[in-house]
Amino acid sequence: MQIDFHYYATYCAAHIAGYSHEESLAVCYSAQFVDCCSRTLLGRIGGPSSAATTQLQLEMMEARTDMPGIQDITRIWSSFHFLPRNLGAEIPRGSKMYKNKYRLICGPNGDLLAETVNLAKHRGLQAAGIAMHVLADTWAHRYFAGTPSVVINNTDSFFYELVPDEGAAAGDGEAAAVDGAAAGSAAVGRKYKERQIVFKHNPAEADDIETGAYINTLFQFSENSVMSLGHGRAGHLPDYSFARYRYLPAWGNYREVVKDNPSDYYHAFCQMICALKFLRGESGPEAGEAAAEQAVSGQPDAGQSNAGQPAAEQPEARQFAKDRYDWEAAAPYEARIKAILETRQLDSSADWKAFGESLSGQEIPDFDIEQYSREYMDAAGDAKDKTFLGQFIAAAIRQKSMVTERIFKSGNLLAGYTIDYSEKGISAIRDAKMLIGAAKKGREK
Amino acid sequence: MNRLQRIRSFLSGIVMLLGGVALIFFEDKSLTLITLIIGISLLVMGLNALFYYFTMARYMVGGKAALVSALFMLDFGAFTIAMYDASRLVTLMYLTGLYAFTGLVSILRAIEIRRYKGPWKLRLAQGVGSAVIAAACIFSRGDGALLVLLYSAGLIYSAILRIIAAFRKTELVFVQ
Repeated sequence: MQIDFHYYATYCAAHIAGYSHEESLAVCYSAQFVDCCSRTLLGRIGGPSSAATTQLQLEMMEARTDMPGIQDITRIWSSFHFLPRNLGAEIPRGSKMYKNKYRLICGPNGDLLAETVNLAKHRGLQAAGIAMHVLADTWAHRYFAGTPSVVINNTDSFFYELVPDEGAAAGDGEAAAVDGAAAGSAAVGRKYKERQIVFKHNPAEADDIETGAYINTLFQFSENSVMSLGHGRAGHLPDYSFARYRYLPAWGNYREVVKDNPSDYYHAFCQMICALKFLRGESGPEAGEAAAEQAVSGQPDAGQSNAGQPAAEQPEARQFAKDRYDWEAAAPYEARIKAILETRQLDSSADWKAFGESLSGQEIPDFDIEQYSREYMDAAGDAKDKTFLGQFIAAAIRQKSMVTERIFKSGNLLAGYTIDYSEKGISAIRDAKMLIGAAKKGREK
Repeated sequence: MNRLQRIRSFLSGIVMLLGGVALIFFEDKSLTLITLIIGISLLVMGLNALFYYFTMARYMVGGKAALVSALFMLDFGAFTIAMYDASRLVTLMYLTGLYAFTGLVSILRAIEIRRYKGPWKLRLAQGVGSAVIAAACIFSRGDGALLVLLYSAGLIYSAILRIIAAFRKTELVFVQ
């Protein structure tokens, strides 16, 4: 996903979820900042390098692909952009290393997603923004893994874009229906022309959606080449909300996958509303059901099902429930949102911005990567942790630490090792000091 | 890295370090040795690639290409070893390609860092330095002493990186 969804659409979702204009801006800024917080940036502002949430293209080019290098790359990309769906996924083939890579494939509604949202609860707007970035990317980046791997992330020449064929009559032999489209998707019943995509590899060129000339990374035989990280081999197609395509994923045993981005992005949007309501402590209809489920399961402090009650009177869900979408809250805007998602354009920022401004009646400023840098650089010592970026950094380290720990505990060393502070009590690692301090106090700054 | 990987990284670093220093001192036989090292390295890479095919790549779509690549690498390794009597040319081509690529990446990286207003000058100097070495390789017309020195310097540099990697932090503190 790009700035259009991570910044502007996240603003819209936050506003629909009940956040004020200023709060929504803080959430969407943090969501977009995940794509900017590289080691280069952190080095310049004096932040801890372990808080990096992304890597610049050339940072990756010079990244070492020995074991520590791969673990570093995996920690960053699996934690923030390719959250693994099922760390215990069974696959009846391949060596242990193959299975470890297979288990890092990203997808929506995994256990780690629920943990990500739960982790952000009561931990500020920056944490909420990071969680929204992770959540949205689970939809856009599904079927790819946040670790360099040819055997998982490679694609081949069997790659077809499904372009809406507005002039096609029903039964037209040239057009194809999207068989894999989700129920409720605008794709159902529509006709499409298939266009084989022949990728180019020049990163200086831009994608041309009219001719279908897309850019992807160069194929390399080396299993751990950064060229095979995430969806690099599929170019930016997963990042475009309008895109529909079918291809053979390297891991798929020659079964094709149909990716319906407009449907996935709408799911992401409605799930963000649900998650943001949960983070605010508001129990919308979906959270109300989750609270009811928790009551049934015997957890304390959960009420009964109160879906019909006003949100403020409903019990607060204590755990985020997967596979819940606030269709109801998005319903008044469904046609407009779907129109934005379906429009064939490289960047939908202007459309999302106009929609967001019509929701709040306030101007949404353009994203400025430097907006909070000066505040962080000028703050002295511990005061840095209380700045906007200080809290973003703390939330980023916490997220990375959680995901790494889960991957490690699953018996998979691709993201490295973790040391559980509660067991070992190691406090000498500087980057975790702020989290350790907060854990000791039993609260967050 | 687990303990075994750390030990392996450390020991291979030490061996490479000693090898790099030894090549400088045994200059007369060094070019032939370097050719053998490159050839054997390619053979080992070919065997690794075969192992990769049988354990992972054969399960992927189009995985047969990995098998072809492995066989090609084995063949190229054997060919390089057979070229030991033209070791000057092999070493020259290897070094020129390596330093030209490294230089290009460093210069591009410096441009990117500058765009982000970070410290870019040192990186640019590294890139220019590598490009100059690549050019020196070409203009040296295969001067044996220079080629040996450049190869040994690269080997020692890689050795140091391996030793450092053996001690690098790969743990993350989990605090919730």
